[in-house]
Amino acid sequence: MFVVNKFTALLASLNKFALSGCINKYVLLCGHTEARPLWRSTTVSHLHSLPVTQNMILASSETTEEEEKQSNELISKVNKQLQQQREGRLFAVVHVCGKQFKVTTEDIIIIEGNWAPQIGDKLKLEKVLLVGGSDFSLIGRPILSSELVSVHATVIEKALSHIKTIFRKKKRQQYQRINFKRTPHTMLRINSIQVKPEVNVKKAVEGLEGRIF
Amino acid sequence: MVFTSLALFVRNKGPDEFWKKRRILKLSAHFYGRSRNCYSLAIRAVHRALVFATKGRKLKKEDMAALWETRITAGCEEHNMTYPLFREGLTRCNILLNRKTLADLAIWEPRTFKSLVKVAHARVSQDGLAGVTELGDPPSEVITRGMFK
Repeated sequence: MFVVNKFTALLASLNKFALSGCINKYVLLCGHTEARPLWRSTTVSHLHSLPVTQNMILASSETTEEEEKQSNELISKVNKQLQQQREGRLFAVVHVCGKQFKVTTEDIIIIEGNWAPQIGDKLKLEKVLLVGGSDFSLIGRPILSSELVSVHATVIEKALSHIKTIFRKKKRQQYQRINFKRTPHTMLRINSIQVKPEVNVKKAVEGLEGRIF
Repeated sequence: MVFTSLALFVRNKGPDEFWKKRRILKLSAHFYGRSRNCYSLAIRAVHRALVFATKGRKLKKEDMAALWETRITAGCEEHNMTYPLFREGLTRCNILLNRKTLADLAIWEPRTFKSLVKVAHARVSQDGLAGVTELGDPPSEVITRGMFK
């Protein structure tokens, strides 16, 4: 509750746009008010060449001291809540097989079409667009880092849909076609949604987690 | 009685007329009037129903999209923002949530939706788009859930 109220107060006081990313340039933390030109985070071309810290420095002239302080306060509150594991039930917006699902733990989602994972396979859903709880939300631009957020799921069932009848008829033309279709369905149970208390933590090198050397 | 020769002028259409008709009548069991019991009427009604079901699958997707747009518009208007500006603001910020998700958030996650509105509003006001008004309370005739506290 406290974080959302802070956020509204902060945003009300700012005339400029007030949204930015954390170290993870693709992450937008609601309530985070470090002001920086939004177009910078969307121009991908130079982000691969420049380290992220350099990116932040380029735009820091536009951030006031007060805004910086407020935003850092907010982020530390979120990190503290995550560390103490008092965030409660989290929901996530996940992108799977071309569709977006709003999920929480214990949810079952149905994925339509031919999909390789078999029954019992444990998956980590990578494309997470948004994670939210009762006190904060992390909005990805467009996705959140999989190092920060992890959504784990298990395949519980692979079945076919109900029989769909495709009936085409042209009247008085003696043209009539009937076809029956059943599409494969995969049922996924969402096991957990976890966020690490590392929001806006600047790592020396990104993208190392899960790599085998 | 034993018939040693075929009877005259008798047509045998086939052994499974009953089951062919039963296939149609099973589908028409919930129709109105004679269309559920009389085969000649039932077959016409069933064909129409199947054609509508086939065409309806495409229309359902269009209807759902329109419904989501209405719901998102309602959610935005609660904060005194318009839907086109909201969408434009989100896309400019590279937030790629689709209409289904945005509608779900507008209904079930009002705080998250409000923060999305603020993000979009900040972006469109920074970019100087036309028609940007200050975020605030919903119009006077509208009653929202948050008012009953």
